[in-house]
Amino acid sequence: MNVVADNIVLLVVAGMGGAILLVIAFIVFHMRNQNKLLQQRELQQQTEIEHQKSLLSAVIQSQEGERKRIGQDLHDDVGSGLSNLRLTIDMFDYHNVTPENFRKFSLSYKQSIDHIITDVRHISHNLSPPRLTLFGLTAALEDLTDIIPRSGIKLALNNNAADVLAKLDITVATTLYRVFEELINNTIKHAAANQITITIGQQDNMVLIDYSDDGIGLQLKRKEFRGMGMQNIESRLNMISAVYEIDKERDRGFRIVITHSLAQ
Amino acid sequence: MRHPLTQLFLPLTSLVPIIVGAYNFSFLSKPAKIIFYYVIFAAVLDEVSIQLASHHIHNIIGLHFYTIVEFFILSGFFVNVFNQKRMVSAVKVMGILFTILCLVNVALFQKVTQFNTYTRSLEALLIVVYCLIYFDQESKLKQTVQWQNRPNNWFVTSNLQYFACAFFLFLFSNVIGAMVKPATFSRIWDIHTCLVMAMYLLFATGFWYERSSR
Repeated sequence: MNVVADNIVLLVVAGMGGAILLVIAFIVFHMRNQNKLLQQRELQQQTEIEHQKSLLSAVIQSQEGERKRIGQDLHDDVGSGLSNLRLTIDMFDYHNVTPENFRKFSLSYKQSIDHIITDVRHISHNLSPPRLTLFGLTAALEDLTDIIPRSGIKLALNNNAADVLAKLDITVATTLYRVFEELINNTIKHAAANQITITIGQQDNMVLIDYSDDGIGLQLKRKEFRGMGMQNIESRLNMISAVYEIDKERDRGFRIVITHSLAQ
Repeated sequence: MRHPLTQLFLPLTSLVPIIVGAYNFSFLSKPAKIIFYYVIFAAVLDEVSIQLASHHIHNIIGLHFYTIVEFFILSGFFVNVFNQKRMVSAVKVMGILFTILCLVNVALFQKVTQFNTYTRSLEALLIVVYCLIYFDQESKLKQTVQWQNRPNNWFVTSNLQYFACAFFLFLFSNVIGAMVKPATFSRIWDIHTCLVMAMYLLFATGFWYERSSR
């Protein structure tokens, strides 16, 4: 048997020294790692809060814009129509009432009232499209295909999921309709496009909406698309738990794919 | 004759967590209160041990009893910090098994006048394992406060540094005692005293953070 000349005391002290170094290293790494994770999480939360704030601000600004537009419509159309009506009444000569005068007055009076009725109907339809409530999203979108070409942009609607759209909850249908309005509005205002293509399909338990235009695209107008309109679209889609993806690979034109789960 | 480190500085250091703990007692959580009682128990036993040694009375007998109670108290602490039922049950079962092992050790292997190297080392090993499980558990949780502001981290760190380092000393205590002069043996135990003092100061830090964590 070999005699070992190692100093046991030295070995034990070295073992204890090694152990304390390992413990310190472990604690320091654990502490740093945990604090770093916490910092990252806080940063992520802060970014999320900021994003939510900007979405909320977009919703509020959009509501204010809508109110302003309704106010303006009421003032310009209904208000002026009623003023005309009042003027017509004021101008009527009560002292010289002849059948011819009365016929002219009556005709002018009826025309003014008809104008006001048409204006009120337009405002009301803008606020809540009756076709959407009565006949569903498909019918409301078909109306859009009639209206949009008047602005000089062609709109092609390929609806392969009419049955599914007819069964959509009214809140979801209205939200999707507003998103279409916003997208079309963006295209008309900013994209300088000639053609809009909307394809609606169904895959598994999902409604897939593919919206594209052949305008100047997102690359050139990035800031504008990240502005109010896009935030408005995002907050509306968030409300119905739908997700969207913007095609950033396109050289020209804009494309967004919206997916809404029917399982909700 | 023992070093002033053991006779003077250790009892004084043990007062630090006791004072800080008592000052913040109303803010202490259940695990912190267990640690507080553990510090009082350890400080009292240390003082008794020092007094016995200074009067040349054998004090190793108490260590066998101390090991069982210490493991019981620390197991109580870990039962309160572990969040998995399976782990809590394992700690409780281990507490019972360890007590049986200590009694078997005294009855069959190491006399009460001998240092209980087997059970004391096993205790150190188990506590180190508990500490590592605690840190693993903490790593899996989504923390909302910084590491240093969580008092339990300080308590567990304190246990980890003490038991991980003292493990070697517990393991070879009887061997070293037989091989070296009593004076040298005493100096080696001074290292242990330093570890105990570090443990007390880390406990005090934990007690201090208990107030701000509420």
